[in-house]
Amino acid sequence: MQRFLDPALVADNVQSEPLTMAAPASSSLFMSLGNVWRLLSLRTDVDDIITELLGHFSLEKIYAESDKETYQHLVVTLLAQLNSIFLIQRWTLPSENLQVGWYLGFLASWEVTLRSVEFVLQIVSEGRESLWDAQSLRDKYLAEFLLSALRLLTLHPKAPANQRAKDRRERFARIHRSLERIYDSYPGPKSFLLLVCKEITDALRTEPNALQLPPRLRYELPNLASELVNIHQPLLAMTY
Amino acid sequence: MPQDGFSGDWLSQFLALRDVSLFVVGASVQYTVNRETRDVRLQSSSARTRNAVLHALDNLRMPSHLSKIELVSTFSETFRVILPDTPTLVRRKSTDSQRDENEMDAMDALCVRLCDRQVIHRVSDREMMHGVSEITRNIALLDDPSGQLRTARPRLYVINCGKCHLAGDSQLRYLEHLKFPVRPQHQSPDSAGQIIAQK
Repeated sequence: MQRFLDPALVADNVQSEPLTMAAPASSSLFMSLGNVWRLLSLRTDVDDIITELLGHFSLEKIYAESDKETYQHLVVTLLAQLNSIFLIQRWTLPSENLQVGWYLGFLASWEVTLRSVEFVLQIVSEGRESLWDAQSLRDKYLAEFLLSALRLLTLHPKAPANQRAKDRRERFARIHRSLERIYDSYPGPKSFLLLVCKEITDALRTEPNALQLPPRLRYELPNLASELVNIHQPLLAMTY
Repeated sequence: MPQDGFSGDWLSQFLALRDVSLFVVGASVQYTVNRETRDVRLQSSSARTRNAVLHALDNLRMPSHLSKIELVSTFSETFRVILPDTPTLVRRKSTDSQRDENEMDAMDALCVRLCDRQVIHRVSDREMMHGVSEITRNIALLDDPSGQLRTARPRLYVINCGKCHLAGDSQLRYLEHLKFPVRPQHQSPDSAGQIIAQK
């Protein structure tokens, strides 16, 4: 085991200094992720946590918008936080051989996830004046957030009950249009990940059930409630 | 490359590979958070999966407007969180460490907020789910000790014979000539792990 995996190094208290000494940046990132994990995994109020973050952001925004750097920082923070939430959500999705009902409580709802995507796209689109020169904001943070959230939407076991494929197609089309607007209004080349995001929304607006997992991953991918650690089995072989 | 009816278009492949890399990262996080001490050779198996993923990316055919180098470097970034020796294709700029810091600050702030949050933090849910999954896993193991006959509904029978035994449903099905009386009841025993006592 390498040093940063040593359980003894995991701080007891999540609020204590998360391992900053001499550790490479990547492992500090790892520790931060671990802290979020400890607090967020298998919680039953993810929807509330997400809406609370969006609410806090909206209130902060009122004053932060006048100062470009403050506002950029605020948006980056929101995107990184949402991304970590949806990342953990991805690990929580039950595979298809599990009783979905047990896991639904730990998942953000389809609707809240979709609306947070719409909300964020609207923020970035409207904030062009203050955000245009923050390249990593859209190239990295926005792109990673979109990838995680769209993945959850694609694989979510419970789309709203009264929703037909046509409705979902329209919702994805809306997201695709917002993303296209951002493409048009922000200058310069876009990052690989952001290009991929547009490919994804483009695929989903045509076929909302596209981009499913290959069969073996669909049935055998581990889950946060069980053990992700069991990766002895060649995960990769399942992607074909 | 595609089998099992998987259409195998590049975007699905990309997302599946991304899932795999995220799960490899997740395994390390879970291992650390749960204070595991078992020797599961996580580092070496993670490194092997990483190499295989990078190799698969190399063979991935994408639309021409997307850059292969950027594709690989986004995956390397992900793997570097747990495997710092992952080679990087593009030189890391000084702004990159600034970005890492922003990200960590954001996550730490989220942690503080979650700690402050005055709602029931159901730690017990996590323990409970872990316990439940342990039990179902054990039942699945007993259902089929060979691990070859996969079933969506593992079941166990308690056989009331001289040397009272537990027998797995799949195990029994495999021995086709054995006929067991089916318990007369209206509900079919379809929940995973339901134990039926047979007299």
